[in-house]
Amino acid sequence: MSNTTRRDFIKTSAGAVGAGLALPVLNRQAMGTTVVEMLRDELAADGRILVVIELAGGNDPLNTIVPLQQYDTYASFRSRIAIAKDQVLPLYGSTTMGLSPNLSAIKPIADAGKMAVIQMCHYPNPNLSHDGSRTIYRLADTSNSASLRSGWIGRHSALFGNRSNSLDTVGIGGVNSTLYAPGAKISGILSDAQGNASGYLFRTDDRYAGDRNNQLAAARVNDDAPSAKPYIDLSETTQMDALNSADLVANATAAYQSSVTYPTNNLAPGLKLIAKLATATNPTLGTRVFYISQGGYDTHADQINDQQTLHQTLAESLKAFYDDLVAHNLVDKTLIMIWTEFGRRVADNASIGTDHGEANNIYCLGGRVIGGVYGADPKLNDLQNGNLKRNYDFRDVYSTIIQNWFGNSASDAQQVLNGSFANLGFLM
Amino acid sequence: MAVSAYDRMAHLWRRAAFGARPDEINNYLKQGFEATVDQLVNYENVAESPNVPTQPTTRNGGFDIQILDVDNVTSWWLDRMIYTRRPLQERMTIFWHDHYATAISKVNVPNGIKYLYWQNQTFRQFATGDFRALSKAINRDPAMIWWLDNYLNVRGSPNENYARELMEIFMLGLEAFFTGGYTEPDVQQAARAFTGWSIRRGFDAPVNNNLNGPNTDPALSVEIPPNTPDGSRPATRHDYGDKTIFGVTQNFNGDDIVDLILNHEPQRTHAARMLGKKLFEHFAYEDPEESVVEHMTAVALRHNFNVKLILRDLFLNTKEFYSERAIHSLVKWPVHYVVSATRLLQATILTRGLNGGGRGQAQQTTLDAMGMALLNPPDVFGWPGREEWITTSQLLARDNWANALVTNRSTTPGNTGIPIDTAISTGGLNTNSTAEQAVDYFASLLIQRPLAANVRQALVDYMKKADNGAIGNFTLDAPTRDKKVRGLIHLLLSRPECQNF
Repeated sequence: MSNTTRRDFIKTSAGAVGAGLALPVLNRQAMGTTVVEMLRDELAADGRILVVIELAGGNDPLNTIVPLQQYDTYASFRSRIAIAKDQVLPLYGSTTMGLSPNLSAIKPIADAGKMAVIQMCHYPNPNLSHDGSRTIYRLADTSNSASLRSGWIGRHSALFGNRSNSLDTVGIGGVNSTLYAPGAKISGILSDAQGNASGYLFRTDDRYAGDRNNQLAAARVNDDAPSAKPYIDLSETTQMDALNSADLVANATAAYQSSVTYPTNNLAPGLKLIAKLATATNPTLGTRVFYISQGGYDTHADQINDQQTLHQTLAESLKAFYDDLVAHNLVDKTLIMIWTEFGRRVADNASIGTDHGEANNIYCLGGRVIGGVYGADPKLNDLQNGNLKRNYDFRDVYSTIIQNWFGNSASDAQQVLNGSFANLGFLM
Repeated sequence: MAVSAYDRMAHLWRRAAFGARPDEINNYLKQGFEATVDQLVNYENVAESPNVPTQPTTRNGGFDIQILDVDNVTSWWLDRMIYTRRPLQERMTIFWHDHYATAISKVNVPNGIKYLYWQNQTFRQFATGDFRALSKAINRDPAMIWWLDNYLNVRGSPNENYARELMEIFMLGLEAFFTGGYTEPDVQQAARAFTGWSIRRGFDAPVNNNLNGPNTDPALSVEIPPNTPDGSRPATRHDYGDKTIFGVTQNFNGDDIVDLILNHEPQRTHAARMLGKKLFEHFAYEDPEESVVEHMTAVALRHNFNVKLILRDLFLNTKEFYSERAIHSLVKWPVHYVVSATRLLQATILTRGLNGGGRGQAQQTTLDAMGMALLNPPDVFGWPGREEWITTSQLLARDNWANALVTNRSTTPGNTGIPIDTAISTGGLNTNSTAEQAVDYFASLLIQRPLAANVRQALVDYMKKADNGAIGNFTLDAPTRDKKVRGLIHLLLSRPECQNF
């Protein structure tokens, strides 16, 4: 589908994407192209990729980036789960905070100045429910309004993504609310254990292979008129996208070559699939955003063991993925953003874990990241209800990425995020 | 334009059941709406099919609860849904499973699958029963106690997880939080009421690498504090002190919390609103008008949270249920999609290998690829549904399951796929039927809504096309049935229009 249809315009111009959000006039030639738009379009043509990794459940920041200068206070709050001081690794860009030994695999990336730790991000009036807080981060909206059903990446994709590319935004393992907005082109692709797309093709009767083209021809016929019923038009578009993108994906994964060995765990295959799709050159798939989730971070109990496994899995998988990007000359075109829906309480609990908390860190990695630690260290002596206070609004990170990574203007970012946020300057 | 009686009856069966064939719809029209709603809602009066398995089958060919696994339970539940003559009971079991979403991903502990099997039975028992009784049953449900960490909730060291979700999801709803239904302190105090409600540890240990212990009585798997302390373990772990919740001070225990919510205003009305609205959105249409929500709230209050009476009201007395806005406006959940296609086509399938992969490829994987692994919801909020069912990979999973269904030519009893000749004759078709008649009948069976002219023509052309694409004559003989009718069914089940119901 190469031309936006009148139907799309009607569907999306009625404020359906979000409160106060108006889509740009589609006839850009008539308006002329601004300098900012040129930059944005150049960066898009440059094949820049954002890889978003969601740590689902609420990753505990204090046992990820460990307070060294406040170690005694830290240990007194967490006698049951504190990481031993002599095991904490030096963290590039800080003398007061250290890196958990469980993340040793990504220490080389940090030491090369390619990892930014944006300390203590969150939002006003923290919501300690998984779904409540996760929804706020995914939708970039603190209003708790049930009517806004678009994710921040979805809105960005709908406004600035490639509307003719069904692989414009790809969710590995499925699509979630971060990615969804009317008009965004999103595909969910499941990965198998080898990092290949699983089940991503339209099968027909093997007994009558000669009839396949007839089936495909019929499957491609759709009702031209907008449907009077909800969801039908979306199903039509999505089904066509599925048929079109299935071939592209199969060719990309077959053509992939790499000398990097990925570890065996439940996150690496998904990252490997991202690498296969991102590194495809014949043709380039043009995916701008990849999304993947690692679950299990709700460490109410047995945090020492659980977080160790999670962090080792994360770090080892990330390192392999990063090395793969380097080997394919893509690391300068790739930005990895790692987020979680909330941090955890400073004090540990009787189940050798931690309960839901508030402020947490966001981690960014990539060739154009200005590595180091951003924001004041968490203040263990200045808590609210036993939880860490924030330095930044998490949307500052999003705004920085929208402007400095995708080359959007400040007003573009404002449009996507329904507000103005700070530029934190962690990208070259 | 008024909705015809036929379309209303077809809609009723799509929503309150898993769909009905045109010949069945015509029979139901003869008996009338009142008798049909009575048959659907008072299902205990309908003799159940002998094909409905009362228990799962474990790998030893019988039923050994100690080796029960998630595929056994999913397969059993799918078979129940496919063969039941009490479809509303299974529809509501799905509803409650989504509402009290509990997942094997975390309850993957010893006895975990057994607990989820018992939980499924509880949903079935209370499917259209008393919401108060169901809520109290969930208080003491071992899968739920594990899932929301209530076994960690003890006097002096409370764990709020269950109390929070009880208010936020199960009984009052998040909207209530923002409209004065409950507060954070209410949640924290309610947590104290549930202290000591726990799993009986060490009592039912599995042996010999079994998944489960030998206990077959759910009540014995949990320990519930008595109303007055008696020195028992649950009593010593329970906080018998006074709690102030919604402004009322009493030494509440867990069941008292359920009663408080359903008796005390404004919580009672909040609960009625939550339940009434959720049932309406599940069966009629999404995001209803405020007037409709108020109506459903009043219905829930009038019937004192009796789900059967609420649903009977909805199916018999609520014009919005039969409105144009309701008809074909919801996306089929993966389980609805699979079960309705199987029933409408009178198919016999191996539910433990839905995509034709036999024992090795469990239906968990296939339904998971559609976005709905039964017994494994993504989190306590259940499946978000709506447009989130509609992604490229999830639609391909539906399409490919449909392909597996139509290409199942096995002759093994219990797994013979679609009886094509039966499906054709049930539709009044025969060897002299035209391609148009075949397309029209199967569309009226599987989509139950007129096709756009160009779509219909494309399917008719497909029926007549040779492999080289040339359109020829059409005869509904055996070779055509095996090739083109199977292909047509695959195409219809893959249509965007077929994903709504």
